[in-house]
Amino acid sequence: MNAQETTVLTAPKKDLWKDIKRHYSVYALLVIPAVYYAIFKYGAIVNGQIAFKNYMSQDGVWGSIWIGFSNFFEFFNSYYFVDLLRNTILYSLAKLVFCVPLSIILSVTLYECTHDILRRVVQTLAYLPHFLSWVIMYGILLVLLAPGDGLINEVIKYFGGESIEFLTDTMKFPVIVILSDAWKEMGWAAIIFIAALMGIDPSLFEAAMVEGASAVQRVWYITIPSIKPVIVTVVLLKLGTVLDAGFNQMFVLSNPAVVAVGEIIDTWVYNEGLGRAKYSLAAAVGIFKGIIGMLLVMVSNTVVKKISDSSLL
Amino acid sequence: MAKNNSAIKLTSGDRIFYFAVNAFLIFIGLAISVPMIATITQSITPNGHIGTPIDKFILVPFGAKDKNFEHFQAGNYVFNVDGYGPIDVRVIETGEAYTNNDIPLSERKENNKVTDTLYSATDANGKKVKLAIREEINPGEGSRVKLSKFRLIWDFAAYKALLTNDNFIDAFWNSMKIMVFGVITALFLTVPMAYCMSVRDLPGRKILNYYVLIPYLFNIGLIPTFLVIKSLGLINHQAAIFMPGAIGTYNCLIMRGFFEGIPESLKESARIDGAAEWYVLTSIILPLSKPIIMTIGLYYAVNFWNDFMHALIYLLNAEDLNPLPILLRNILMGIGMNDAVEVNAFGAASVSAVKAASVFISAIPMMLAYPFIQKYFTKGTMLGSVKG
Repeated sequence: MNAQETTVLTAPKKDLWKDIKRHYSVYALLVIPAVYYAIFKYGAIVNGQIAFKNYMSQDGVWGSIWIGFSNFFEFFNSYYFVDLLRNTILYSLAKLVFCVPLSIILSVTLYECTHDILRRVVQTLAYLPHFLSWVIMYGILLVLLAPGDGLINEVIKYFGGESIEFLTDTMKFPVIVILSDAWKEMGWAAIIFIAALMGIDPSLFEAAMVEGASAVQRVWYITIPSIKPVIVTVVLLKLGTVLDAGFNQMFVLSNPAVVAVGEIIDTWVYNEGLGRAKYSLAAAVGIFKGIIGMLLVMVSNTVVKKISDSSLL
Repeated sequence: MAKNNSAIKLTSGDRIFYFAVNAFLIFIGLAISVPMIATITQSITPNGHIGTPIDKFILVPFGAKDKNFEHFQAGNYVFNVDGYGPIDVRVIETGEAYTNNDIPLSERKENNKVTDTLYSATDANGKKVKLAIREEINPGEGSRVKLSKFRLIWDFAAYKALLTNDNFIDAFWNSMKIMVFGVITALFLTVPMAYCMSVRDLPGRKILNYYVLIPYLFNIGLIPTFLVIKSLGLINHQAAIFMPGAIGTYNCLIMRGFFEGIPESLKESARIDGAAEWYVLTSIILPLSKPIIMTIGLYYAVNFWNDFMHALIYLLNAEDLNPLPILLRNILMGIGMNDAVEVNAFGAASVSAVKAASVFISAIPMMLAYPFIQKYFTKGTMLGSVKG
């Protein structure tokens, strides 16, 4: 063995090269996924330049003319900019405010339930809708809310009322959006809280009961505070994706009558960008959303890191 | 976690609490199951029923056939039909009954078969009866009236129509193909990527991490990705549906976490024997990773089976390539039906029954897979969070 390689003064490059050669089969494994990533993710990022260009199909990505930030200004000054942002953010926040507490309550009640059968049945039922697509959800909503023969309207008519247009009324539509999202995702979201609840030290509860705490006190003073870090993490992570608001749901549920309250950024990008071939404008909007989204995620991730010791990076 | 409080005396506050807990859970259970049951119910509701709405909710698997008016003496009777008014029913000696009133009847076109329309009515004595009225093929006699056993009977016409419909079968098959090839591709790409990210002393590991995470943090959006697929010539090709999502970064990270949790000593012992990395991967890591691969595979499978957005975007005028969610949406919206899927070709089944039936059939694969998913996902999600 060369005496030089064992001393501290060895040139790092030599070791690095040896290291690389040693791991060459890892790199070989990496090639195909890395190429996939290069094409589909970074290729897309490169295509993002059309946001600063005036993309025409015949010119392609590279041949289209640069127009700088014009697309962005067009978007910010448009009449729909405020509506889109408002719809997107309001839906995300409303879902957050409604669904997170509901999931927490569901997880705590499942945890506290003493009837094994009831608990298992409800748990199984609650998880199920998450695995159904939004198209199926829409079908179920039609069965319930259709203006003519929907279940709820049939019951209303039976009691002498007039059938209500749930899915085409701009006041009722957002409520349906939020409720249906809760219906679908509440069980799945509760999993995280249930996992956290399982991790609570039972001796805390025993001590509380010895002290004579009632069940309500036990839940309020021990159970919920014990999962507070998880709650905060979940809320922060959801805030990081506040601009997403659910393309599948909004696209499937939306109809011309409720466009004013049914259009979010993602559905707009689809309708205008692909539907009306306004590629550059839609790309600009997408980049705007991506940047804001990235900032939000990074901020919330940093805060989460401070609270618990886990992070994505 | 069920709490066994039987050893401790419950205060009345506690009793109320546990009552509230159970009540809430029952409420949730009902809230989730009732819409799903209502969907199934609607899918087997027979067509042509014009009666009280509440009857629709009382469905039975089978019932006695509608009866003639045998115990009525021959003659003319008046029945007051709910929502229509009085009709004259003429009972003849054989017990058959007819009416000449122009009461609205549903029609079934298929094979010249006609159906009964069911009505609620009261007879002259105020007794409530149910009438099954059918438009007779020989006019002149009038519409045939029978006394009906009024529970609506399960009618699988919607299912028959869908399961024999070529478009529907094709779409189901398309979804299967997309899911199977998608999962294979996704695992084939995700597993090596996750594994390589987990190799501890890999030179450039940090670079690799950034390489993978940057596009995840900064999502460039729909249009640029669309242009990539377009330039690959994959528009109107089913592969376009699963390719963009083939490496789900989140799934990749979960898998990486799992791989990092595998003791280094196992990998070392293989490497000392001079094994190449892919050998380490296949012979040692993979057998240990069955749970996480099943879990992630299931996540991908669910995603690809339910995928709507990618099919919508990338299959532009290739109707025969449509997966189930797209077809289902078309059925639900009553649009874009080409001749084979047109509503009146369903004949025997009502439109809403067909819609509900298509929803149910689409949901079946997920519901069948659900026990497997339940078995693996709690384990899997926990496994993925173990970091080295």
